Order: sequence, then C-alpha cells, then structure tokens
Amino acid sequence: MSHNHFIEFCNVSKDYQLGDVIVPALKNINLAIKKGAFMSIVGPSGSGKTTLLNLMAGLDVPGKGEIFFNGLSIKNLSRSQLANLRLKSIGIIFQSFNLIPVLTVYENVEYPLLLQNIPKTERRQRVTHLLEAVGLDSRHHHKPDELSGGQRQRVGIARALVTRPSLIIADEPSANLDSHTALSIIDIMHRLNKEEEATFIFSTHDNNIVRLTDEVIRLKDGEICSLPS
Amino acid sequence: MLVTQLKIAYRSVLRNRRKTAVTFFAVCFGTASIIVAGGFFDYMFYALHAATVYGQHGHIQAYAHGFMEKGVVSPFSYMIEDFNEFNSRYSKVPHVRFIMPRIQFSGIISNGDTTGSFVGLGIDTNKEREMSSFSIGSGPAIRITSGNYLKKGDKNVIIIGKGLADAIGVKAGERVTLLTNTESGSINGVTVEIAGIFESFQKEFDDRAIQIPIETTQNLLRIGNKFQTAVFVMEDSSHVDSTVNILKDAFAGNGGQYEIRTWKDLALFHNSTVALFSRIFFVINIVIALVVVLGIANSISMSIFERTREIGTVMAIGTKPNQVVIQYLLEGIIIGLFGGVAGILVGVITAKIVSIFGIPMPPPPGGTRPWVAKITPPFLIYIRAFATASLAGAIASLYPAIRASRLRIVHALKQT
Ligand SMILES: Nc1ncnc2c1ncn2[C@@H]1O[C@H](COP(=O)(O)OP(=O)(O)O)[C@@H](O)[C@H]1O
Ligand SMILES: [Mg+2]
Repeated sequence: MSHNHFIEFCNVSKDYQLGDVIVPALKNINLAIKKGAFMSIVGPSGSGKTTLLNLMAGLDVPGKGEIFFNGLSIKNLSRSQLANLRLKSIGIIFQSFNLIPVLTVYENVEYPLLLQNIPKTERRQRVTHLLEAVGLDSRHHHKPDELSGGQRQRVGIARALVTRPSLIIADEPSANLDSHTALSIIDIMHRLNKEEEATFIFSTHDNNIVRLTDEVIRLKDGEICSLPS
Repeated sequence: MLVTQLKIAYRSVLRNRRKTAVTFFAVCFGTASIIVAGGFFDYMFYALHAATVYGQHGHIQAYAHGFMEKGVVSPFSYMIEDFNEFNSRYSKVPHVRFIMPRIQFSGIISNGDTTGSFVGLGIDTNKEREMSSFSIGSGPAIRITSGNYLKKGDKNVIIIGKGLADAIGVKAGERVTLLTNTESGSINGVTVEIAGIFESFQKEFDDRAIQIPIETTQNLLRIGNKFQTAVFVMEDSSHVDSTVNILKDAFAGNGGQYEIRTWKDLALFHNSTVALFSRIFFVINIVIALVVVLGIANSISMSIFERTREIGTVMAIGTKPNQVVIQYLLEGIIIGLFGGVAGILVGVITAKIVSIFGIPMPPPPGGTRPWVAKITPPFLIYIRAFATASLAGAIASLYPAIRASRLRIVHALKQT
C-alpha cells in the first residue's frame, strides 16, 4: 500500500485510562489531507478534536493504527526524532497562545529559529517579515503581558510560521478571543495559508469560522461524521 | 541558543522575584557562613600556631645527637658543648632571626617549710622575651601575674608557675632553695629570689614549672658553657622546611653531631587541635552545602511546577529534552552564582566588622587565659565558598531539570 498523501491516518484509535475506566477518545479514524489545505475540525466538547490534533502534530502517539506524514510512518520515531519533525515541518498555534513570558515578541518568534541554528541575519529577516505579516512590526520589544489577546495570538501565529513548516496545527486558536478578534485571526491564518503555502488544520466550534474554511472534518464521540467533500 | 536560554533563565529568576529572594538569601547566607566560619577557624589556627611557635617551641630545635632518644634518661650525656660557637656558626643561615639556648632539668624546691619538685627551664631571658613578642595571636605563652619577668643580667633569680607557688606557699620577692643533681652526680643547691609568678596556657605545666637565667642554671648544674636545646627563631614560618634541609646538610657536614625537630614535630596539641577543627569545619561546610542544595532544589522545583505549560510549549515547538535540562540547570547555576557573589560580599563585610570588635574566647582546653579571636578568611575560603554555591546550584537543579525534560508534552500543555 502506498501512502502518498501529505497526511494520512489509517485506522487510528486512541484510548485514555481514567482510573479503571477506559475512555475511547478516537475510534478507528481514517483520513487523508492534501498539501495546502485550510481545514477546520469541528465537533462538540469531548468529541476528540484535541486528541486528533495532538496525534497529527506528533505530540502524542496513537494506541492503534498508523499515521503517515509525507508518506512516512511516524510510528517508531523517538522523542527526539519527533521533536525534530515538529521543529522542521510542523508549526503549532495554541489556544492560550503559550508565549514564553520572559521573552519579547521578537525573541518569542526567533526562538524556533535558534533551535534550528539559523544564522543571525536570516533570523532577523524572517522574524521581521512575519511580524510584519501579522501586523505587529511596531511591537518587537514588547513583552507578552503588554499585549492584548489578539496581539498575543498573532505572535503565536508568527512563531508557528517562522520556520516555514509545511503543516500548521492549531487547537481552538480563537477560543480565548472575542468574536471580532477571532475572525481577524482566522483571516490572517487564511492569508498566510496562501502566501506561505502552508497547510492549516485547526479545531473550532465557532460556525462563523467554519464557514471561512475550505474543508471541514466533523467529529462526534471520537468518530468522523462527514469527510471533506 | 545558549544565549537565549541564559536570557530565559536569568529573566525567569528575576521575574519570580519574591520567591527567588528566599532562595537567594539562603544561598547568600550559606556562602557568607562558610566564609565567616572559615575565617574564624583560620584565625584560630593562626593564633594557635603563633602561640605554639613564639610562645613555646620556636620554629626549629637542635640537640646533640641522641638526645631525642635518650636525653630523658641521661640529660648530661647529650649536651651541646658551647653555645657561642654554635651560635656564631648557625645564626647566619638565611631567614634565621636568632638562636637561643635552653636547658631543661628537674629538682626539688623548698622555702624551708614546704618542699616540692619542679621542672626547671634555663633560658636566655632577653631572647625568650623577644621571641614571645612575635606572638600576635594570643600573646606570650607565659604571663606574669605578680612580680616581674626575669631581666637581663639577673643572677640567682627565678620566676615560678602559679600552681607551684601556691603549692609551696611562696610569693614574689621571697627566697627559695633549689636542689638538683649535677653532671658529676653530686647534689648542688642554690638560693634564689622569686622575681615573679607566671601563668601559661596549661595548668599542669604551671603546677611544676620554674624558669631560671641560663647562667644560673649552668652554675647550678656545674656544666660550664654547655646547653641542651638550640631554639631557632625564624623570620616567619614559611621558611621552616627549607631551613631544616639547609641545617641537616650543614650538620651532616659536621659529622652528624646534632639532630633536629621542627615546631610541628613538637606541637602535638597544635596538630591534633588543627586536625579536629579542620574536620569540624568540613562538616559545617557539608551542612551548609546541603542547606543550599535543598533551598535551590526547592526553588527550581517550584519554578518548574509553575511553568509546566511553558515546558510543554517549548518541547512542542521542538526543544529537545537535553535542552530543557540545560535550561533549568542554568537557572539553578544563576541563583547559585548570584547568591555566591552576594554571600562573598556579606562574608567579607561581616569578617571585617567582627574583626574590629573581636570575639572574646574562653581559655583553650587546659589553658588559663581568655583571648580574642578575629575573622581572617584566607583567599582559598572565598573560592571554596563560591564553588560550593555555584556547584550547589548545578547539583540542586539537576534532578528537577531532568524531571522537567521527561514531562509528557500533552499533559504539560494542559496545565494552566
Ligand atoms: N488525559 C486524558 N485522560 C483521560 N481522558 C481524556 C484525556 N484527554 C482527553 N480525554 C477524554 O477523551 C475524550 C476526547 O477528548 P478531547 O480530545 O480533549 O476532545 P475535544 O478536544 O474535542 O474537547 C474526552 O472524553 C475526554 O474526556
Ligand atoms: Mg479540546
């Protein structure tokens, strides 16, 4: 069997153990995602969105089944190899922004480039470019706690994109923002999806946002109700 | 990357100012304690050394060959022939300040009513006095409590230990008779005046001791210009070993008539005391290091606990586990370094201030006189204290840092 999709889940299940009870979070998921997609994952709370995105981001491993990234199984990768995969190919945007509080806006965005040992001039170029792209070029030296929620999430987006990953994962990136700011954040993501040619997959339960996405995966009780058309 | 990790560590330490402050003060206090304790012990050793060398033995002693082994049994068989000749030959050795003769002997002392036995020391009074003037730490080994010290040119005069004076019931200014065996085996006696009564550090010594001008001793023992011990007083203690070698060579060239001991060979009390207090200081050092380690470990553990989500985040972004370890090691080391530097400052200032006033000390074991201690930390103590602090920082944070690096990312990310 050949796995030539960008991302492919084959019979993926994931259970959690809660005391003596086994909680099935994902049941036998099969899906394939094309490069360049701008896709939302929707579903009620507890339907398995976070679990699915964590697996996709290589933050967790499935109980059963196999996940392919660029045609390669990530099943037997070590912690360190997974860290490398995330560093090189995956950008993550967090629901509560998760900026490093003691670093400035500029330093937060620069951080992943330091992990990659990118030389200083290129770092400066890329960080400046992305902060401009998310409209924060005047905020380089601010600390996260001097920014609004929307501004922080824009820093988060810049940080996720600065390494030019092919895949961006975002678990409810707008859940902590008011609806107006949420829409503008998704707007920025959509624009960067085109400009930076990155695949965006994010979860949400906001229907206004779902309407802006090209494809939708609907989850219910750990199962996919409708595949992208 | 390391620069940014240092930035994160440094700023995180400063950010939790109130919590870090407690740990910081613990480290600072620990470092300062090591310095103050070390400085105190150093001064004690110094005072003890000064009391031992300048108050008792001098730096080096030479005797006629065989004296060390058999001198106690037949003292007259192991005498050096002529002090003037010996002195002119060896007082030119580099770093030797001067040489002085001593003769130790025993006998019976009586005031007519009461009789006791004594251990007498025949001395060159001027030189003995000059030697004891170098004893800065605790003063000369003997102190006159009534009457006077022996003066140059005194004949038929003694000073007597307080215990012995009390035992036979004599005061300064009174006369006593000394009886002893002479070299030829006959008994000789002399009536002497008590110039003064003295106390030394050791009561047992004061209960039996008298000191007599060397000429009077030589007359009493009928030994002419012979003497027993040549006491070498050096410019300072650092040249003892090299001078011993020079003297040994010189003595060997002279047919091996003489043998040698240094103050360290003689100062058993000094040596065992130094060994004991060095051990005590080592234990104090370990205890302080433990307190510092626990303090820092606690601080880092709390920091990690509070920043679990930050750890989850940086690992999600691609930070390797070993880089997480380095991150928190750096934090511990920074607290250790800063606390260490502050502790050195506090230690130096404390040492200076305390030394101005001095610490009143009780008499040493078996001693009779209180003394005043200072705090003089040697340079090595600063290094030791600083190393303790920064090493404690690294050791203390190692375990919490490794635990942080093993956090499961998805769990860490869920923490608020
Ligand atoms: N660490 C965990 N331990 C136990 N159960 C969990 C854990 N994480 C998630 N679950 C359960 O797995 C199911 C899916 O959770 P999740 O993926 O977080 O859903 P969503 O993100 O859609 O709210 C839920 O029933 C949830 O209670
Ligand atoms: Mg969720």
